Amino acid sequence: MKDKYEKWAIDLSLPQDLFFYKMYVEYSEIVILLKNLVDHTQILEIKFEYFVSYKVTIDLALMKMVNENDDFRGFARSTCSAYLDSVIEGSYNILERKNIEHFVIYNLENAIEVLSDEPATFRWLSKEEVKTLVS
Amino acid sequence: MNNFIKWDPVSPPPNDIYFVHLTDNGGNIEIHLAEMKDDRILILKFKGVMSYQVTDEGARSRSLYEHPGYRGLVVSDNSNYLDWFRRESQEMFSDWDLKHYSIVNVNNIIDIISGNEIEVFWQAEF
Repeated sequence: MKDKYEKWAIDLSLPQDLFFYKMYVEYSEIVILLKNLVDHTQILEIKFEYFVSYKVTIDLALMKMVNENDDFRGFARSTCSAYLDSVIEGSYNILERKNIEHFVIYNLENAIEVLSDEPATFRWLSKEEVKTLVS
Repeated sequence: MNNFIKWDPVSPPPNDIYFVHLTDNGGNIEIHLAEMKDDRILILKFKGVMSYQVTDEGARSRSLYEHPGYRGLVVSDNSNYLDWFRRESQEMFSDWDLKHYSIVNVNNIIDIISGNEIEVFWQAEF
């Protein structure tokens, strides 16, 4: 079955192009940091407090996916994807009862795909936080 | 498929490791794992990572139950993940000698597709 993606509406004003800066994982929390291509001092933080699985793939390696799915760009979400199916099947379908969604963050460097039943939070880092992070 | 063999990049080999944290600086990832009984951290640094995946151990119950040898540090050049990567990238990296490394720990399973620029070492925990 073909993957189906839809636009993931983010409640925050976002620039056209974001590129990957850094991400880190501690326990079940993922923090993703993306920079604004036009203004590198603007860093967007995306935080998932819980995840079942996540995958990062360089953009060049996803030619087939991008060619076949017009909506697999920018911020997208899905409840019907091969990645979601493979993880549910790998859990002996125990995860079927959870409302896990497949979230996609496709930026200029890579595609970050997160399977989670928790909503992500988005915020721009303050100038002080950016200064601390960069130094 | 999924022909994994034991991967022994460090001496002594780890036992019963658990996940501490992972940092991704864009193609370079650093993973910290700790041993249950010893005060030391296993650090793995991968450069030139093409794709990687971290999955909660509960979501990989089938792999763990059906493949008892799939534990600790293992490597494959013939796996479903590599096959997916080759299809998706339309064989663009077919001559890059990419391998699939798996780090099977108590908390999760980390799958990494990369070349062989890897550093693995023990660090005493302070």
